[in-house]
Amino acid sequence: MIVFDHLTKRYGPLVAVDDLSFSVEPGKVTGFLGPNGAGKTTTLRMATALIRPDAGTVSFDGRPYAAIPQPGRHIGIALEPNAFHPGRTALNHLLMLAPYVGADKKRCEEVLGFVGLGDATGKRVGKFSLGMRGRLNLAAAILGDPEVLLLDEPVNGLDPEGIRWIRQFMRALAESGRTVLTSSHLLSEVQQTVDNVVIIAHGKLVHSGSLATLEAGNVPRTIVSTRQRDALISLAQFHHWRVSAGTEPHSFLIEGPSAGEIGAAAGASHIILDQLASQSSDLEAVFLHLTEGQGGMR
Amino acid sequence: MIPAIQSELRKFLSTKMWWVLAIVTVGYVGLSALSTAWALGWLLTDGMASAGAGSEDVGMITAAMGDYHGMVYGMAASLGYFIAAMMGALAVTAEYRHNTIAVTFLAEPRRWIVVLAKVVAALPMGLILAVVAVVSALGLGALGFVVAGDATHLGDSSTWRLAGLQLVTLMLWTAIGTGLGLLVRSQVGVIIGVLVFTLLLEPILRMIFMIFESTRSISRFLPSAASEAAAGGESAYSLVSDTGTVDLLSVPQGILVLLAYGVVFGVAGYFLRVRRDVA
Repeated sequence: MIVFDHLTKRYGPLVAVDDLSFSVEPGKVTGFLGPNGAGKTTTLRMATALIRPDAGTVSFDGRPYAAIPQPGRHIGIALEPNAFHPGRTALNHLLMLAPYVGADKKRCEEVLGFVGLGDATGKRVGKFSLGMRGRLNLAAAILGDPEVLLLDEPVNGLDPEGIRWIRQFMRALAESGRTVLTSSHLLSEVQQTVDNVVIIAHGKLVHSGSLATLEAGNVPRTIVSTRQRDALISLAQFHHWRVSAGTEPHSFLIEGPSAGEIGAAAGASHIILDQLASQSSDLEAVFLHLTEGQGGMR
Repeated sequence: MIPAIQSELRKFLSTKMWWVLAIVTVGYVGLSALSTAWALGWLLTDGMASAGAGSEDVGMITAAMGDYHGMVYGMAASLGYFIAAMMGALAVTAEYRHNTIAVTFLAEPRRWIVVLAKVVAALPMGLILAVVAVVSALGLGALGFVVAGDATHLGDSSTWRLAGLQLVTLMLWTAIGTGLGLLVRSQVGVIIGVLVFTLLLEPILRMIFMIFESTRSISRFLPSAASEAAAGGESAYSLVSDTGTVDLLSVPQGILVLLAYGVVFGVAGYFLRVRRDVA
């Protein structure tokens, strides 16, 4: 169990992470989601003692990261997308980390083979594609065979084949009883992989729970167009629907009722609708809805 | 602690920086020793003879030259020390430049262990460069003397004492460089800093200190003076001294002063820089 407890980090007047508390269940894949700049990376860096929080703590089974001897044997981390010396080979990059986790050369080669870099062990990282660097980062994370993995935007830069691979990789880790916390700015990127989600925006928690609880927050969104603006707004107010201006002239976004309910109500009130279009209300929409507002449901 | 040191050594040996600097050392130290030995050797043998100097004159001039063999063989440290410092510094600044420092701190979150491991690992790293420098100075220096027809003095115990002391001195300079790298962190900053200080600022300071009676003893504690003391007492500054000799510390004192510089830079680097957030 990873417990994030009232974590706060300020940069001058900006509060990057604001009194953030949540926990990550063992043996599951948890998606750590939020738009770019929401504070995901700062949070993960505070968890791993790279950044000192202004307040709060993060603990792994009760211990802070810095108090775990040989942390790489318990917690595998892929935070830095590009922390490689370009002149060092992939194998040497792992060999340099190997003493810390007690791994030998054979283990390094094995791990490189596992992430699909078996043919590139002697290649300099400077010649690696972004996708290969991503795989090398994961190889470094699993070198010490840890029971917990923290991954920051692991899908970034991967090709479709790489994305499929990393999804299987994370599922396989969870199925073998390991805990995975993976961040992303897109829910759709991890939707098929994660069991639980933790969503933050502006450094604050907006949602934490299983994917199913997120689906429960799935509010229908409908675009309507009408020239009877005032009539539509009073109708929305009467029914307690959330209405906002749409992207086109005379168009409005209504949240809450289904398209059918809106059509029936508008007809009963003699409002002529030029357009009535249900928005594909997938989880991504829920995610956007949650992260756009200043922290709605908790 | 041992894994951290092992990791640092692997980092060091897995990039080309060390052998590039080793080649620079062979070029700079070796060629300087070769040309100086050749020129001095020729001057004191054929050069004098062709100028019609008698054996008495040659003896007198040779005596006035002092231990010029030691001067040539001492170039490993007297010329090579800033390369050793640079190597120690670059090993650290490369970590900041390529952000592998974050990876290192993730592997060992107790950062003081990382700092200690870097300084300790600098000693064997420095030994590699020191061996290259000493072999260059002795090998190419002796070659220069042979070509000029002068004696090499390679079998003298004083030559081997000088060689050994220079190994120690250059190892310490690598550790000092490591401390500097931790303090400065910027690759360009540390290169410019080391060059400006060792080639410009320090020589000026040292000469100013040597002019005044009251500051003369302080000049012994400047890094280059301590280095000369640690490396056996050869000093290029004897030429600018009114007494013809330079007041230096003893060998052990020189070693301790160099060690102190390394410790001060390392501790300052830790408290001022290393403990900061890695963003």
